[in-house]
Amino acid sequence: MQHLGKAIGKNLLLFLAAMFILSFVVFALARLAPGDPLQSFYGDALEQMTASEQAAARARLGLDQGLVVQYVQWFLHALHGDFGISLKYKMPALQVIAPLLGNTLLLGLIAYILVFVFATLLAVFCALHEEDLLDRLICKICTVAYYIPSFWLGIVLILIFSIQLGWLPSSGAYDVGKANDLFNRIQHLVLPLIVMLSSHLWYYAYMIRNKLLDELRKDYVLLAKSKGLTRRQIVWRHCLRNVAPTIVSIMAISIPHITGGTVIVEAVFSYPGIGNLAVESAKYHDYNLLMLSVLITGALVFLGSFAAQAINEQIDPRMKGNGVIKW
Amino acid sequence: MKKFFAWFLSAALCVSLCACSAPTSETSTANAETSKSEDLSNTLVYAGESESTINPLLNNHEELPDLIFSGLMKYDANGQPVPDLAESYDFDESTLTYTFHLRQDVLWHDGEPFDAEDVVFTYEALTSDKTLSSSITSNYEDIRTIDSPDAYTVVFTLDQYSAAILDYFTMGILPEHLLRGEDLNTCAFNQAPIGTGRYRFVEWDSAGGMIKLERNTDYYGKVPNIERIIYRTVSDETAKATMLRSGEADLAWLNANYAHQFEGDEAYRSWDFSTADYRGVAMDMSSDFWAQNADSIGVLNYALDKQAIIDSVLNGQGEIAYSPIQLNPLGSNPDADLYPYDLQRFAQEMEALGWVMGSDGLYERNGQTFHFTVQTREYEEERVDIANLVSSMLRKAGVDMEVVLVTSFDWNAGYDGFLAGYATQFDPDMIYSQFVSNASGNTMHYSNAEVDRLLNEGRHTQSPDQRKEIYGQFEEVYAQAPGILLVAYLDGNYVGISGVDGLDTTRVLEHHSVGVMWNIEEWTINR
Amino acid sequence: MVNDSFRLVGSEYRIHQPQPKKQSLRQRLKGLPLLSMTIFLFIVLGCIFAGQLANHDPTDFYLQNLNEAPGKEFFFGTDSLGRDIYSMIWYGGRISLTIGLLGTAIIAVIGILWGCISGTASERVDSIMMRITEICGSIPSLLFVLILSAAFQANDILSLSIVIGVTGWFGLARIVRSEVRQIRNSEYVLYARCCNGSFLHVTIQHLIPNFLSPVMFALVSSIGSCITLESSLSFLGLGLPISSISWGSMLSLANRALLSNTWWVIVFPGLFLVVTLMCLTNIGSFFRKSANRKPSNL
Repeated sequence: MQHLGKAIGKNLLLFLAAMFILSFVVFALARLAPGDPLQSFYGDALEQMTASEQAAARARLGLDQGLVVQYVQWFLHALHGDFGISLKYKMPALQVIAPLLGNTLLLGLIAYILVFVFATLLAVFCALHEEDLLDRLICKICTVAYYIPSFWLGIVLILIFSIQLGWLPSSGAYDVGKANDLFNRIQHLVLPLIVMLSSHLWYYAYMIRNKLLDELRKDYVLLAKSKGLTRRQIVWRHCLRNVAPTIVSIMAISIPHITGGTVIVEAVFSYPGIGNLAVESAKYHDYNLLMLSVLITGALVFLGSFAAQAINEQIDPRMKGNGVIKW
Repeated sequence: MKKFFAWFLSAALCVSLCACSAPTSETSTANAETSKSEDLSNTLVYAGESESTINPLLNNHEELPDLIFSGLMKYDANGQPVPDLAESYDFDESTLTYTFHLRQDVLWHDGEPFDAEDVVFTYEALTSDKTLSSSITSNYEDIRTIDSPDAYTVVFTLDQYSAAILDYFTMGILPEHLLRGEDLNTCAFNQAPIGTGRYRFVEWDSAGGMIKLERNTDYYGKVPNIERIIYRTVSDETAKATMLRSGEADLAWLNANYAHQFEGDEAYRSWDFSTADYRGVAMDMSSDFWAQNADSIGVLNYALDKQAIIDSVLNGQGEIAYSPIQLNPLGSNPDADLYPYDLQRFAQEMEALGWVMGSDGLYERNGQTFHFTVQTREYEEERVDIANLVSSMLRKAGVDMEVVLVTSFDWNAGYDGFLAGYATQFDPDMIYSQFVSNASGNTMHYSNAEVDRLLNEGRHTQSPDQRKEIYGQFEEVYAQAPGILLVAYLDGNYVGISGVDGLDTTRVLEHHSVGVMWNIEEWTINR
Repeated sequence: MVNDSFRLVGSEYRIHQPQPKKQSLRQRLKGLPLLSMTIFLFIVLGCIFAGQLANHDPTDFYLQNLNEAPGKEFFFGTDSLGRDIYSMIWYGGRISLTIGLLGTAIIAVIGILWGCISGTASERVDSIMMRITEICGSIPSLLFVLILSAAFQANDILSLSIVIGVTGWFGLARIVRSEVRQIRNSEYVLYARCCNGSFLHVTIQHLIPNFLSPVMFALVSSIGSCITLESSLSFLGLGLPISSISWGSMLSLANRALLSNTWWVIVFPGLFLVVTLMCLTNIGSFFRKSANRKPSNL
């Protein structure tokens, strides 16, 4: 129990430190970057303002102080949930992001689950047919799919399924007035998910496959075989169970990778989400918004990794203790 | 215990995920009620551009403010200003006073009555608020005083006669009762506007990428036929065309090449508007390069095969541009068409200006290579293409124009110019703020005493014949020393599903073909 | 003096002299990813000799030949502004490959140094350094690149490579560190350190040669990921300016060809990119000495 409290405390501390470093680095980069935030905010009207008016506006937006002072101010405000004003939307950054969070989580979570369900299935299938023609064929096809740039695949899918066949929508998260219609949302998710799967599936399936192949060479497999278990039974009941901790660890480290994938997918399919917003705000030099989207993504990644680690410790007692800081 | 912890953590993760997505699901439940009754048969889905604010003072080039707000005046089919929120107006020439008699039956979308206070508030903001992030304040600089003797009368006194001021009175009026004391640049109103216009703002659904509008049944004029408008915020032109193709949108403005793809398809219909919208390379005259070489802008025209650009980028749908007010009834002076496509002439003129061809195939003068940078917004495909072609043609002629893609124009980053688009669809005075020295829209820092004089004279002259002459002179004077390398006027191609009807192409459209919805109350949709 | 009593005698006494067996070319090449290497070499040579291969000016607009299908004059067709896809591919490949190599070089330098320092340092320093890579590595690299390229306006080959390289070394550093940890206590390293070998000497002379093969695999794959990242950035509008053609910027034009049914604009650059990436992986996996698996127990 003591160990547990210590683990939570240590992880929490690490999480806070990470968020702090992350926010400071992004903040510093954003403020040191060329491009005047005042310009993004006022646009053409900036030219009409006198020097004193500009100074007043700078003070109002908190741009007139040194970097560290600005950061401390930002940090104090952030503690109260105020992440500054989006320069493009001219409203609080949190308000811009909040409605899009659900969309991204939906896409990311479904993609995440699908990637690992399919990766495990594929890995088991390949392990059962090791070095068969089928296994090699799958390996080749999946490697090609993995290397197709995801934005390009997205475009081709839109061309085929939206424009030529008209089966699936090409953009957005849902149709007019159907925000609550699950079927409609799924329809909009089909193409993005295919892209996510094709670009992530094999990477993980291959790792799991190799781990499974190592497992098949252990002695207990021989024992199980001599007991008369079938190949499938051995793989599903015994080997997979032993590989499970590895899968969970892979799942934990895969979160940034998959989150990065959603950014491109969102851009291709004009899917209103955080990734799309992050790209847009990077282009517009809308740093408050960019920072918040990076922080939210970072926080999700960390939380996900903690969860994966906890689950891992649970299913594999060997991980206990030494996993405290290794998330 | 450990087991419990693990499950606890994973459960916590799930809960937090659900909590994060909760805002959407809540709003969606709220919408669910409306959406169930929502019969989409009388709804127009318009694929528009990405939006950040809806406020006529801040976004004066966009479609939505025109739908939600209304002004003292509005434009009719021919682009002439007629009374709108005003029942009538009087102009007293001797005292230069406009007196507007306001309609008394107008309600704001929130039910409050509209009165003179609102008008005074709006125009005071336009004329005295220095921090307003708006590019049109120069249009109102002749207004000296704004008074309201009673609740339904507003009196404007001008410093001097201003020919186009009635046009500028079309500016949408903001509700004083909601905005007094707010910062107009950042107030929440900009994302939840309340106006007096034909359509009422319902919801900004950023998770769905759409803005919902509903017709204003209390509108003082003709109530529109189409019940609802869904304005999809789309980031690029390809997405608009794909949405139209896949049935996700009913109407969109497309560039000529995309519009061409829909031709001959019975399920679609297209409308070709003429627009006063031109494209050209506008130079920043204050940059180091042009400060020294301003004399060599006009000559570049000789090196441009503008027709080839129109034929390729615009699919033939456009017109060679020679004057910034070429499609204006008071403009179009053919004598201003000075520069035909003639490479030999180009070489001669360059020589006359003192440029010498260097060994690298580029002109040089006073130790300076003819090289300048032009910023172009990356999401406007036809501008990027035009910039590319112009650059390639100039390069062959010996001039290096470097194209830099940006997301939004940055006037302080030291570019020598930008790929500009402007339109003068109404009174030719619209170019005043663009060309007069230090005016509010003069982003290229153009300054020419003669142009200043003529545009001032044009603004303050009453007789249309005299004005036509003055603007004709302006065109010639300007063509001698241009600040913009004019390329082409664009046609405005709108493509919609065949059930959309009522678009009226008599109106000459604005920049970005905005203004198509000027007669939206007449439109119908029939799926 | 030869002690005769100890002479070994036998009926068929012979000294065994192992003859160095000459391997046939076929045997030596066995296992090498020949096909991939040939194709890759072909593409690389094509890009180097782009000037000789291209039959049109890649930056020119052939306004008389818009949207032309692949044919005799334009081998891979032209796009909506009359640019020759075939010539663009060779010139574009130059930039894409350069970015891949430059980015990888930066990744290699930072990653290997960081890994070696971390691997040889004390427990505390090591844990801090690894924490840093983990924190940085937990931000999706695309987001990291977005921030950096927005902040530094990376729009030429060098700065773009730097941005890509600076954000891509975390994985490599971890691989190097774990390899170093494994060998740092081996005798020859200890000996070198006892002999007052400097950190750099030990790293270059002893550490790097020993973890070359896993690192080579990581490096070759990172050429591919740098190229992909560049093309994604170009697609998002944050990559190279339009004047410099790369496979990425060509693919970003594919978006536009969607509606005009000019499949060649979409397919050819994509094909080249995917084939190059495939070849790189195959070559990369050759470096990863596949642990000779004993037969499966299944």
